Amino acid sequence: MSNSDLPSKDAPLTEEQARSMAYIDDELDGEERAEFERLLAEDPELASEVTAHQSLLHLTSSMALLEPGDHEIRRFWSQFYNRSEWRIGWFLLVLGVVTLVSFGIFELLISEIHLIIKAAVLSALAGGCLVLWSAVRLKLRTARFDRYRGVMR
Amino acid sequence: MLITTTDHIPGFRIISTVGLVRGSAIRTRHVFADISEWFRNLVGAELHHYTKMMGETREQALDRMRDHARQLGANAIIGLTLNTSNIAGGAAEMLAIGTAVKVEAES
Repeated sequence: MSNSDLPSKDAPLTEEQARSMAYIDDELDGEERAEFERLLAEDPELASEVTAHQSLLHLTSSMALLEPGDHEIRRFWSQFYNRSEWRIGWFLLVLGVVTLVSFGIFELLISEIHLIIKAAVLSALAGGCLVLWSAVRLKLRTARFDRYRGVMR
Repeated sequence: MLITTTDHIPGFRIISTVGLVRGSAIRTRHVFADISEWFRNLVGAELHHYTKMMGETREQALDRMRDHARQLGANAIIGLTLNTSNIAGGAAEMLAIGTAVKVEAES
């Protein structure tokens, strides 16, 4: 059985409806368009129907399509436990790294290593921090002009 | 502006070839995103931060190519190709190349 043999539940479009659709989709040529706009001016009911369809078209074209997985991800992050688990994990990770680095610096300072080596390590750390801070400031200043932040995939 | 991967655009006639146009972009995510993705990589999943990074890079490269074509006075680009390279670790690098042309609708 081909698709054309299947019974259709939708009534076929009338000529007027087809013309409305073509008008909304900007598919009418100049003369047809002018004629249809004359009709719109004379028939308020048709005009309100066309306005409703235009609003629907605008709404559907402005909606972002979400994949099923996106909904699940949003649902996952909307739950307090999941958010807390992730944040606590990050907090502990950062705390551990900061503690280790601080301890390393402390051990370096109290060690018997030559003063020049200590100064070189501290200089490298200070320079790295300064460059990182500069990169962060540049990022913060330019982030609001980044047109691509909204691109998801 | 019309952009196609083919060497012609159905319904349009190429009046003149303007020349090669290109746009490139390299983008990264922040270190926290890299660490998050490293953990996700351990268990296997879509790496959303990197998917987003690829999307951002692709759109930026395409926009730069479009801007280049506009500067040259073209109104369409044919033969688009997107190329990736591997310069920096954890970065998405994309180069969009096409031929800028002037087209007009076939009557």
